[in-house]
Amino acid sequence: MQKLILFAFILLSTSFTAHSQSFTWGYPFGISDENEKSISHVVEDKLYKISTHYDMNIFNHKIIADVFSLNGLEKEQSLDLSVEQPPMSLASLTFNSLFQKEGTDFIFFYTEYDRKTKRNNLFYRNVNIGSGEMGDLSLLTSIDANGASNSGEYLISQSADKSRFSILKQLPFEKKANEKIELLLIDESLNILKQRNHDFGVEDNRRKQHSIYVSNTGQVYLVKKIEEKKEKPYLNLYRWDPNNEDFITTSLKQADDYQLHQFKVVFNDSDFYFLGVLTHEKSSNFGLKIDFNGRHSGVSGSGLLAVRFSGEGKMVYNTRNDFPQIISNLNLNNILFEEEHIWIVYDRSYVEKKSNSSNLGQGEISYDYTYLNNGFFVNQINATNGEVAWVMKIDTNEPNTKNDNGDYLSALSYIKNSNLVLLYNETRDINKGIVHNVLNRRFPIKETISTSGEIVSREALLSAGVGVSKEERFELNPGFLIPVSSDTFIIRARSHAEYKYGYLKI
Amino acid sequence: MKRILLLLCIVIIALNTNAQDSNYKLFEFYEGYIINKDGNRERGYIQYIDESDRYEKVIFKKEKKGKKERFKPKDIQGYKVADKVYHAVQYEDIPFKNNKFLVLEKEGCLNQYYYRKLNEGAWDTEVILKNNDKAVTTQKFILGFANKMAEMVEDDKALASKIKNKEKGYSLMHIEAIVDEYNSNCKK
Repeated sequence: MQKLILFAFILLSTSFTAHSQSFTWGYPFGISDENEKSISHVVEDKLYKISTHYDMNIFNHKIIADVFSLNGLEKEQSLDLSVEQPPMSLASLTFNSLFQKEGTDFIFFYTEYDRKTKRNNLFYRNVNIGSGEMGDLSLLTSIDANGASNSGEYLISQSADKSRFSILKQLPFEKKANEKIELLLIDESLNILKQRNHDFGVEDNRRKQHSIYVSNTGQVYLVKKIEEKKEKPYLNLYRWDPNNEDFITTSLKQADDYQLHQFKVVFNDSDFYFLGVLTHEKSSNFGLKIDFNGRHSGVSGSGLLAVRFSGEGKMVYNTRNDFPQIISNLNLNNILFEEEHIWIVYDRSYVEKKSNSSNLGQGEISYDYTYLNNGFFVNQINATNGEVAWVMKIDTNEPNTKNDNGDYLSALSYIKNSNLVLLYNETRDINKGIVHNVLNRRFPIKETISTSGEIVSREALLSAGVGVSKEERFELNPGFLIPVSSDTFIIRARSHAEYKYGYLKI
Repeated sequence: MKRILLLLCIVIIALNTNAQDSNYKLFEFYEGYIINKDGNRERGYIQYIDESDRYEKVIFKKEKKGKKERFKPKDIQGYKVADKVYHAVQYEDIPFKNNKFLVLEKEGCLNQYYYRKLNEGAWDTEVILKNNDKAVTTQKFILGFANKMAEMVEDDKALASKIKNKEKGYSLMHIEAIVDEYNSNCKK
């Protein structure tokens, strides 16, 4: 009797696990080259896919908004939101960045060098990505330039609640002078709230590397790469509190000169988190590495640097964690917060970009992209002290792919019932028999990891409607996880010719 | 026999060359739908046939391993395959009426369609406009464009007048812009 109950329980729980998520796929649409494109999605009355990329032919960005119905996730139209090019010449107005204001209302920033006044002007305008309607250009600020080729640059960021913008004005290069910047804090109506000039006290250089972030409360953070003579490069983190004009510098230089080759910045509530991957390399010029199968060609990760500032701008910690071993091809994929834990998911991936142009003189520029993925790496850090609680290495044996945007080689991640869930592909030979022709198909794998770092379950999602069978051309494209509601996401699948979006209910 | 084989080889090479133009492979089935006479969509798999044939017929399967069904423009309202929507349109052609599956290019109060035909080895594109009353090929607009185009948009008095008065930007060369303007005004 006990055995019967146990059997019934296992049967029930298996059935529950197998049906704990559902997939509903929409209509397919043609694939596009997404290499080196920045892609974002907005879910409103429709699904909007916004892609931007720099087009060498027009020295400007192409911005395309593809619109999909929410019902059948069918592509309805594509809108070109790029700067209009005059016939037989090129527009001098250059796209800088775009941000969502509310719904389909966006704000686009542009720069334009004015030859008469010798100023590099920053403009903005309202753009509706649903209708393609564009407002009039308005001037926001400008930089005094030293000619068109040395006119400075603008970096712009928006707070998570969309109430603040911060603008970094990288001033034109000046020989034998200190590097200077201007910082602006702007409100949602594009009014300048505060402004600050800053001298870094280091010699100016032409290869400036900055990134800027702003919190909901208007705290501005700046990450800057410092390259001084006879010194290994390092990163500095600056915090500007416009309320009391505090400007605090935190050096992220490591005593052993280990480099931070990749980092992400996230705000959780009002706190600022910097999470950077350390490599054991001591120079930022990592150079070309050659190995036999590319499995160790990328940058290796040897540790994680976690820095946290409170909403009031006080540093909570600056904690370095060294991994037990060096991990090849480590790339940050996702950062997830859950109470006092921070889950960090990495791809162990590498992209090789190789020119295949036969006639560069004629302006023919094209590249081949080869993608590989050795698997994934997961760790959890304690959000209160920044210390790594545990690490987990997941090995996969996916074949390399070429010129497919690397669409099959990553992992989607989300939290359910306090566990981390990963969705990724695993290639399996579906032909059986002692002697047979190999027929590889990708199986979507769902792996659940507990908060203490144990594997709770690992299963192939056979009824996901992608991969698995010979007849099914679509396979999971684990590149996008677009939240729709607390338990529903939009995801994407791909075949050799098409993409399709689908709903994942978890 | 050798001649037939040679011909077959040439045909296969020609097909492959054509297929390389896009990611879609000729004669494979892709997910899509047909629009039945009653306007309902039926989701299934549609064969990606040669371009000239796509305007004349559609081969459809409800399931991946289902039975093939063949439809002509008189049988269904339209279909979608390989990112393109085709509508069955009966339109005024030269010299007689014609009935084809046409590619929907712009949708609104005035729909703009096209189809392509091989002419001495090159593809010619023919544009067809359709409003609530009629569908007509723009080939017919070559003579007397102003009157014929103004008639297609007659319920937008301002636009029709601009076309009739041959204002700059409202000539035969600007059909697409006229369709956009008409559809945009029509929405309001």
